[in-house]
Amino acid sequence: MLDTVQADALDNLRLELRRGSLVLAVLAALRNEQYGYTLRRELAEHGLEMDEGTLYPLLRRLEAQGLLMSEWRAHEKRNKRFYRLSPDGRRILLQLMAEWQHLDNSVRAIFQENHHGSH
Amino acid sequence: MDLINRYLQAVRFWLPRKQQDDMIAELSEDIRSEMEERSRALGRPLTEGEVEELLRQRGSPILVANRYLPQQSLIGPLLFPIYRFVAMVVTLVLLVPMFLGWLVTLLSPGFGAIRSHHWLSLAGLTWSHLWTGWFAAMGIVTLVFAILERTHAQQHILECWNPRKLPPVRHPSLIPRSTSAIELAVNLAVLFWWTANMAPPLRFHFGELFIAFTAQWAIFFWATLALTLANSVLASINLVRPFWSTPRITARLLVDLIGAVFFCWLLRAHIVAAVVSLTFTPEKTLAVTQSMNYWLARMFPYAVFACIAVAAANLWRYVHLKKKPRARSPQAAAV
Repeated sequence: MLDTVQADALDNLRLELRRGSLVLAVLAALRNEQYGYTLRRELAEHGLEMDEGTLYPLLRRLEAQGLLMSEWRAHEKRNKRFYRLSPDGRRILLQLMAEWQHLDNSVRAIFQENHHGSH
Repeated sequence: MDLINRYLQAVRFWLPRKQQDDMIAELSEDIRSEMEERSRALGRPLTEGEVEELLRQRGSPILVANRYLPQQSLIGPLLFPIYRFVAMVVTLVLLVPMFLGWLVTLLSPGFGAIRSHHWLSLAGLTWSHLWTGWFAAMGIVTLVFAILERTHAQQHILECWNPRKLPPVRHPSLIPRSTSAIELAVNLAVLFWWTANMAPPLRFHFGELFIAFTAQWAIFFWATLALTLANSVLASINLVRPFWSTPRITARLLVDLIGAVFFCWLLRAHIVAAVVSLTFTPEKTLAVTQSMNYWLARMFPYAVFACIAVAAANLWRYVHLKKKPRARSPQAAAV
């Protein structure tokens, strides 16, 4: 059993680990146009729960950085804001995916090397 | 719906004016989409209690609004360690002298009169001054750092450094040779001056004024001579081996304590035998002599306080060295 201090440390580390991954997930999900609520649902369906207080500020930040484009449009009798990747966003997403793969390979290699070394 | 509008209004209050409409429209849409989905799943409209629960899950309006805002801080993480250090120094600079002043007032013989008034009122007054001064100083320090943060001056400050200008590695047991050399020179000078001018029987002539000291002066004279000699030996050893060791710290502590005890004793020993002048009447001679001894005795509490401070400094050094028995050389400390 983890004590409270360890549980807090784990929560913080998990949060740090998720932070960068969530940006990648959001960018990847927005290759197809979506509005905020459906985006949240899609992320949740893939195991990435994200509350609206985190998602919407992130969308705004990515839009301000020119990675996303948004548009208010009527849908199912209500106005909704639709987001999609911008051309710059597509390029950045590809680079980030490459970086993600590189990090994943490196961590796996380090982990496996140490795992074998310890036996 | 009334609950949702009230919630949105409360969130809007905390949002920046230019983006309020946009952010609220998006938040409103998200809440309504969630309500619709829940409603579809239940096959009926949500009750007021369920809407309340849904809003509660989203968090308080200020928390929700805060997530939309850029992260702001009065003093950012770059400047904060410097701010904390400056705040600590300011606090010490203000607190220590005030605390010492308060303690000296408590210890002084004249405090009897104050004590009869009420010692709590003195403590209250001291604390009141302390808090006012401290809050004002901390306010100024915080303001300066907040301005630095806003003007991004910290980037300039943090980038202006040179590895060659960093201070040398500090070591708790290192005794700077310059300190030992000065200490040795001063002690030797005192030793010669003391032997040449202060030997018993001690008498001073200032024009027509003649001051004689009692025979007890001899005790103080020889004690001071011995202690100055001991200090000179200690400084010589420190010059050759510039690291504090347990025997040397103990010796320093003992020498300082013995010196302090002798000095305190001297102040209360009525050491002045007579202050004589051709212009004094016998009554005046007696009065002046008593007055000098009285004023020396009045200095006693201050001397005791100074002695405690010296002893505390020595003890701190002793404890500090005992705590780090393995790191006795700068090389070890650096590694």
